[in-house]
Amino acid sequence: MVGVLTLPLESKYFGWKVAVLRNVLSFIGAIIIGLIIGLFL
Amino acid sequence: MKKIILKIAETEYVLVILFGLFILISRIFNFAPSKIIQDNFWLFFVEMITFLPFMFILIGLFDVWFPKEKVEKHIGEGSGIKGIFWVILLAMLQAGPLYGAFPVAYLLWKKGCSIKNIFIYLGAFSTLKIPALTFEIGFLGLKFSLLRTLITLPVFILIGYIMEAYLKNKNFEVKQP
Repeated sequence: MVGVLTLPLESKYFGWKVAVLRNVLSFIGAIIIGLIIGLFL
Repeated sequence: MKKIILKIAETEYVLVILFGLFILISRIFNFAPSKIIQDNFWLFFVEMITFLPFMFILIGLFDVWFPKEKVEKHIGEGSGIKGIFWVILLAMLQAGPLYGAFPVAYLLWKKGCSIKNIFIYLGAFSTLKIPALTFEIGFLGLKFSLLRTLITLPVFILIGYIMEAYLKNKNFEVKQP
């Protein structure tokens, strides 16, 4: 979901603002997913 | 000569050239980490060169074979849950790293896919690819994979909705680089 190395490439398709926003949201999402899995397993 | 150098420095090739020089110099001076760097570079390079041509063929065929009206009807604006289902299915059937998904995202956009579905596609592509899932089940077990999939699904659908709400009136467009 998060790709820092592909960020320059992603920004060419979506623009920097949108690409960074998508990555930040995905990062937050990934942490939430990790925490919930931690609760279950 | 100076002009050519300046022109190259403006493009992203400057990184490639600097990398090549770095490898060359570290070879001459026997810089130890350069061996690992070279191996890693080769690994990713092979992955990219073997996988990207197939992706481009698929994209080309998709572009020619699928009419815009059909795509727009099924995954476009106002396609609802069915549209989400179709993009997730499309993402699951693909393979490869995330940078292969951006050209597909551009094509989906060109064919009239809604903003929400484009970002759901990217989320699904990075988390629910079947080839990656089989690896995951092998390494971490079916229970873990099932649980992770169930928790991941609503998260990236939510991200899709957030991106759409944010970009709705901003004249957002996906460009071809």
